[in-house]
Amino acid sequence: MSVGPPTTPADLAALVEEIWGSLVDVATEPLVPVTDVLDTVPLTDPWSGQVAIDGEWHGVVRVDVAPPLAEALAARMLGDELSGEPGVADLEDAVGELANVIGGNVKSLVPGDGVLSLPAAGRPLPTARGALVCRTDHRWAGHRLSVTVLADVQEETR
Amino acid sequence: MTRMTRQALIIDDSRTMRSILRRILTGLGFECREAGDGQQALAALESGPLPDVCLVDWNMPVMDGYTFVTRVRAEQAWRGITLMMVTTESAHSQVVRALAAGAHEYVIKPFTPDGIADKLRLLGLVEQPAFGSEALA
Repeated sequence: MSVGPPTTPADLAALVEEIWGSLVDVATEPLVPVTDVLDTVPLTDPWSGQVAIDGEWHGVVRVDVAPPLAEALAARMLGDELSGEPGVADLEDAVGELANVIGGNVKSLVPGDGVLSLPAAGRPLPTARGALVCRTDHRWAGHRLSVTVLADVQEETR
Repeated sequence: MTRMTRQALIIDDSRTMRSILRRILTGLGFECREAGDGQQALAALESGPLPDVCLVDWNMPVMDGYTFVTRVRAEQAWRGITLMMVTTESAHSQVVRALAAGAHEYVIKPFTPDGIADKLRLLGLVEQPAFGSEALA
């Protein structure tokens, strides 16, 4: 059984904004929190990344991003190394690393010394089933980013 | 005065993260090589040339960064290599563990380019900025 909610939506949103800003230039295009409930319905066919935290608290941190946002993220992270459009491996890597960094920071908020899994990423990525701890939604350059923290994850289904 | 270009080995299983670190280090004057896990990094050290600094992620497949640090520190010929962890692992116990194993510095993701540069300056691997040099020029 998991212990307590490790983070609040406000904590999580602040983390996401800081991490996004470290990976993507936000000087000209800020990451905007989404508060309109109509804008927080689950994304359709997103790129997803996920890490698990296992220890005194156990759960998963999942990131879902709209495909254009995943492409922009990979392009910004790879910079000049990218020739042409990012490929599937680039997109998986970028979204997986985003989940990894967010998950690692969420882990720092949970009790005990948990173990962080390697990130999984894909489109689609099996959906984690668990108790919703918190979720935060954002928009960057007109495209959605959603981060969810789940506890007591029992199974994953496609 | 001629100065040898400093060498860095970036060890991270994420190509995108390696790319970000490579841009930062190149901007600081380093020549960079990359490895996707600790095992690849050990192979890079064995094949040479030895880097001045390794930037080491913790969580990687095949061989994690902590194991890499312990392996490097066990090898006399590699004692001169500076090891800097760059990882999402932020638990105090893990920072202590990595430093005890022989890492010189510890950077928690997310980081900024200035944050990386500051740590490398502390390690003596990047020149101190010439404070007020613009005014003197």
